[in-house]
Formats: sequence, C-alpha cells, structure tokens
Amino acid sequence: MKKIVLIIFAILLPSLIFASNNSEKKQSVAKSKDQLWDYKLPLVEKETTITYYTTLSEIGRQYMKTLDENYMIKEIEKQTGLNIDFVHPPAGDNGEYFNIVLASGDYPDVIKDPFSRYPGGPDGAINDGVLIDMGPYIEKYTPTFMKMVKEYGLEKKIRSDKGTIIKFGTIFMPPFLAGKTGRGLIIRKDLLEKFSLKSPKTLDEFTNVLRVFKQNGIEIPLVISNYRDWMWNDTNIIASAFGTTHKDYYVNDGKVNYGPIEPEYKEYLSYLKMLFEEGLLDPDFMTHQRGDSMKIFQSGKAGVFHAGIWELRKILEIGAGADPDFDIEAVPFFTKDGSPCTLQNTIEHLSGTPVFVSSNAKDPVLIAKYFEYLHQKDTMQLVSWGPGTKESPTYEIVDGKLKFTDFMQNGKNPFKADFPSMRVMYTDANMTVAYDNEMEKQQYDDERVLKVFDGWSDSSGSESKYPLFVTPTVEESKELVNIEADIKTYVEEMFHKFVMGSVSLDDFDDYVKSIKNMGIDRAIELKQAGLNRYLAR
Amino acid sequence: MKKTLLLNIKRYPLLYLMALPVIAWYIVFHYIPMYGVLISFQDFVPARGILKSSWVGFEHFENFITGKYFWRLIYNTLSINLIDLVFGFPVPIIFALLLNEIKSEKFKKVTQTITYLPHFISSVVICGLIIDFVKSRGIIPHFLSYFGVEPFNLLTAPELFKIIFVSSNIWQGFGWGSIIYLAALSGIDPGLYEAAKIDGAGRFKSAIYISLPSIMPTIVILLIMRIGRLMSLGWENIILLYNPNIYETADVISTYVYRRGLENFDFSFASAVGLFNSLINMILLLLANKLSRSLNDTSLW
Repeated sequence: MKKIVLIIFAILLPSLIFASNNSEKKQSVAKSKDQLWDYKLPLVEKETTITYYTTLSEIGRQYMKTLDENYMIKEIEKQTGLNIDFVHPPAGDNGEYFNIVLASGDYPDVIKDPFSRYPGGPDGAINDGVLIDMGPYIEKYTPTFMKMVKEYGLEKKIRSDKGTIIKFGTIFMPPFLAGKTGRGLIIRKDLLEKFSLKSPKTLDEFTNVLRVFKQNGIEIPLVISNYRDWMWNDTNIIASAFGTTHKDYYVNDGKVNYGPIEPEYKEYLSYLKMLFEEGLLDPDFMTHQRGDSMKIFQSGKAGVFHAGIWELRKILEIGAGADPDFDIEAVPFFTKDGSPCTLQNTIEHLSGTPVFVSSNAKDPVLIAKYFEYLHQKDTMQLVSWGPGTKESPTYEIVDGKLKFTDFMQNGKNPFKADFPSMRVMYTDANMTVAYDNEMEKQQYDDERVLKVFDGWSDSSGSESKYPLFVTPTVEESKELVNIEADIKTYVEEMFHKFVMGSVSLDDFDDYVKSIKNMGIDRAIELKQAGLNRYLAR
Repeated sequence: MKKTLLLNIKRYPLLYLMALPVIAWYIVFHYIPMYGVLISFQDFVPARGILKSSWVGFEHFENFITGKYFWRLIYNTLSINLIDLVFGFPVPIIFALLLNEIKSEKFKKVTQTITYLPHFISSVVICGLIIDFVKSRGIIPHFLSYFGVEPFNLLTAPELFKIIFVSSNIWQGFGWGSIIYLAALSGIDPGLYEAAKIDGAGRFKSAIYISLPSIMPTIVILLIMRIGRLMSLGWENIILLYNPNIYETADVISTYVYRRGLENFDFSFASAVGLFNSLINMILLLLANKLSRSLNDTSLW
C-alpha cells in the first residue's frame, strides 16, 4: 500500500512542479506588461560591462585618461553593479574617429552622438543595422523619461519624422537656463575703463573700440580661432550682425537660405577683411585651435574673445594671474541696422547630445533600465553634485539647500585643482539627463559671469536658426552629402581668400555663381522639404 | 621551377623560416585588404558590408574626374612630389658622399646621429614646430623682418607652401636617407681609390669617378621606388600643415581622399579616388622602370 502511494506520488510530482512553475511564469510576464518593472538597485546581479562612446573635454584630458577614472562614475558603477567602459575620440578630433568606429563594425553598446553626419541620420543608421530602435524599450523600461517629455511638452521634438525617438538621454534644461544664449563675445571690461571707452552697443562702436585697443598697444584686439571652430558656426558671432550665417543655412519668413551666398555675406566678408588688414583680427586665426586663442586672451594680449558661459570662470581665474585687474563683460549682439539679432544659439528646453544603442549591445533592456536609473532624483543629484561622501566631500547642505564645498570650489583638494577641473572629475555632463536648477545657478555664481549671461541673452534670439530637430530622409541626406562636399571646401577656401585679400571682393558674384553651379539650389530645396515636414508635425 | 624552390627550402630551411613573417605581413596587410577596392564601385554602407551594399559602377570615378577639383589635385600632387624629388632626392646622396670623406670617426658618428634624429620625431610634433616657427610672431618671420620683410604667417601664402613643405621634408629625412648610400659606399674596394691616387686623382675627382659610379645601381633602384610612390608621399604632413587658404597649392589627392572619406563619411567616393591614385602610381612605376632599363640596364625586375 505504502508502495502504491509512493508510486502515485512519484508520477504526480513532476506535473506538480511543472504546474507551479507555469503559474509563476505567467505572473512575471503579467507584471512587466501591466506595470512598471521592479526598479531596484543594483540593476544586475553579476557585474556586467557596457561600452559607452562619448567625448572627453579638454579639461578632463588633463586629469583623466578616460571617464572610468571619474569619482562619480565609480559611485554609479557601485550602485548599479555595471562596469561602464568608456571609448573617447582623441584630442583635436573633427569627427573622423567616430566615422572610423562606425566603419570598423565594432560599435560600442551606447553611443552618445547625434548621428547627424550619418547618411540618413539615426533612421538611416537603424535602417542599416548600426543602431537599434530603442522606442519600445524606452516606453517600457524608462517611463520617467517619457513622463518628463510630457511634462515639458516636448513630444514634437524628441522624434524624427518617422516617429523614432532621437533625443533619448539628452538634457532637460532647468528654467534658469532655457531660452538663454550661452555663447558670444566677451570684452576686457578693465581695458574699456582704462582707455575711457563706453561698452560697445553698435557695430561702429565695436570697431572703434578695437581700433583704440590697437592704438594703445593691445597686440590682438580680436582673437578668434579657425574657421571650423564650432563656436563660429553655432554663434555666427560677427556674421549675425549682418543678418547672415557664417557657414550654415538659416530660415527667413519660413524660407531656407544658405548664408554664404547671400549679399549680406559680402558685407560680412568685407568687414572681416577690414579688421584683418588693420591688424585688429588675430593674424594667425586660420591656424589657431580654440585652446590657443583662449590662452592668448587669458595672457592679456587680446581685447575681445568668443567664449561659452561655462568657460568664463576659468578664464577669469587664469586671467587674474596675468593681470590683477582682469575683468570681462559681454559684447551684446548688435546688428548693422539695429534690428534684433535672431541668429544665435539659444539653449533649448531639451539640449545636448542624445544617446543611441548599437546593434552590438547584448542587452538593450539593461541599457534602458540604466537610463531609468539616471532619471531618478537621487541619481540626478549624484551626477550634478558629486558623491558627497567622506572621501569625496563634494557638497554640503546649508539651510536646506545643497552647496558645493571648499573641496570643490576653492582648491582644498588633493589635486589643488580649480572648480571647473573638479567638476570634470567629480560630476559629469555625459550622465546628466536633467540639469539641477540650483546647481546650475551656483555653477555660474559669479556676478561677472551672470552679467555676461544676461548681456548675451537680452540681445539675441534664435528665431532664424535652422531648427536642430529637423530630420532629413535617407535619400535626402545622401544627396546633400554629395552636393555639399565640394561646396563646403569651396566656401571655406574662398572665405579665407576674401578675408585675407588674395581674391578681390569684386569677384563675389562669380563666387556665388560657382556655388549655384555646384547645385546649392537643390540643397536648399532639400533643406526646405525637411523644414516643412518638421513644421507640419 | 617548383622543384628548385622545394629543393631550396629543404637546403636552407632557416632562411625561409626567417622570411615567413615578412611574407605573411605582405599577404595579411597588402593583399587581403585589396578586395576592399570593391567598395569604390558601390554605395558602400559599413553596416551592410560589401556583399549587401548596392553597386553603382563607375559613378564615383566619373564624379571625381568631372568634379571641380580634379585638375588642381592632379597638378598639386605631381608638382609637390616632383619638387620633392628634384630637390629632396640628391640631398642624402651628396650628404653621404661628403660624410664619406670625413676622416675623424668621432665627428662622423656625431654628425650622423644628429642628422638621424628628426626622422624619429613624430610628424605631429615636427609639424607643430613648423607651424609655430612660421607664425606671424614666430622665429622665421622675425628673422626675415631684419631683411625688411613685413612679418606674416608664412603658411597663409599659397606660393610659399611648397617651399616650406619640401624643405621641412628634406630636413627631416636626409640623415636617415643617407644610411643606405653610406652602406653602399663602404662596400667599395679601397684598391680603386689607391689606384686613382697613383694616377693623380684628387679627392674630388675620386669621389666623382669612383664613389658615385659605384653607388649608381643603388641610386637608380631607390629612384625607381621613389617614383613608384610619387603620388602618395608625405600626405600626413600636408594634412597637419595646410589650411583652407592654401588649398589651392597644398590640397593633394590623398588629403582630398581623407576629407571626403573620413570627414564626410563618403567611403566609396574616397576609395574610388584612392584607387585612381594607385593606378597612376603604377603607371609611373612601370614607365620609370622601363626607362631605367633602356638607359643603364638597372631595373627592379
């Protein structure tokens, strides 16, 4: 009898186990479908490595080989259980390294790049199998991102015309920054006072200031870097005074124009030529990298420089070493005819470089989960303010508000490093998905810097800029690359020839004709089509 | 033929073993990648690979040849390299002949070492130095200002680029280039010099009539090889030195390939241009070889 019971039990046992197994499986499937996944740290049980492509700033290079050495990243790795392996392009890279990485077929898992140079943009890359469409994963595993997009009202901007999410992992801007202009010209305020000059408010006053600087022994009144420097392109620093762009497209009354063939461009060129001939412009600008120009300005040999708001504290600090009176103020964005300047690069609500996930990534779900982690309040604080632990005392709480410590701000750290350098080592812009309003305020917490910020922002807007969020189709971008390749070389070359006087500006019409022969009208048409689609979204 | 090769291998196995890595290197890095030229007939997309990219035939070649910059690129490539050849090629030979006449071993060694040195410095550093030297406030314009030349950035003048490029090339390479000639010179039978001395030849005469003819085969072989590389020489330095204002005289085929291919993500077009470049190279090599064989019986094959 006992035996029979045992036998029956033995027969039933597997099916019992099977049954219980089944019900468990059903439950877990239901869970991930109906509600958020179970967010908990660490994200993985076993240490898992993901590779991450991003740039490393110039300041960062002085202290770290890769971001692996960043103390905040180490904290992130500890919390999540992930091992993030960074891949950086070399210093001075113009995007070639990115293209080599893509050509090699050995893509990093996560790639922080807008893919705007890839034929067909992100959609083209997904089509070619370089990237995967993260949409479904994001909706399921990064709900906080979707929630924030809704809160900020950015649904139109995060997707391409095809509906692919192309702004994942970018930065939500706090009220303190959004809509402001963060790049422009700065002038030595102390020199203006020394030579009893007024702050320049018009183009003529500006030219006059440069001339007086020169007469009083300022070696290079206006120091700027080479034509390809992104600062030129993004801010159209001097071109915008003439109502044109330095080398890009812009929009006028809903119509796309190409800056370098407009009549205003001729005025822009002749102005630069005049500056160059009078020795008001850096005679070596064509071979200067941004860093070279900044050094000249910091050494006190120059009067005006183009800079980004985030660089000002460092410039002021080093400048004070060369000249104790060193002080700066903004050169407002004036235009020749007094109309408002609409060609600047204002900070968007959603700004910065997005991330994409390559087809090499083994576990896209994990990456989506990792970004959910980055979108948590605690993580945002960690990323913006640093670890704040005993070994890395980056912030303290004063009157209920977070504040950077002397360890960060005033060189009281083992590296004897200044604030911008400490930020690179203890916080990180790459992992930032939303700026902390308080932190951003404190970052620029210097009256001089805030004044420059206002000076730029009050005098400019970005209404005429070609919107960043337009996405060309695969065919369009292929055709554009073909047309633009030779035009870009030609415009770049002729720009220098006109400015340095080896070709007379009387030949400007021939130059425009050549560009038209190279097919610029077709390129403008393609750009217009993209814009129309964007506006109709 | 096959039998003798096998026999040879059997007789000198070690020699063949030593040659093996070099042969492997050529196969792996020079022959296997050759199938990659296929992409110049395609609209190549790295992610799809050669098999799945679409074919476009000679479209890229046509675009290049009918393009705006075709003749300028050909002219610049040939002229820069010809100038480099005419002025750069004899320098190591003359240097080797001069060095050969020096009696003091110590002085000879020191001179040799000093002249080799630039060869071992990375091009990036060399070009960085040059850019700094020729800046409007650099040492060379400063020096020129004593002769009444208004200081300006020398690298912004299209007509000066070739001079700067070629002279920096010569400076960097002549010491290293002279090694092979010195080796050839040391192989000359001293008896020849003694005989010439008895016949009353001075040092100059014996250099002209003994040293130079004895190293002539070496010179010719090196010249042929140099001509074979005529279209691709030293372009890394050009990329590091040039700027848009002097594209007119400085832009060569290789730099154009670099800009189109790597900066614009236009791999197919770039490799089509590269292939075109190699074809011209090969034609030049064949011509040079033929010419030299008919002139003085020295040739590569």
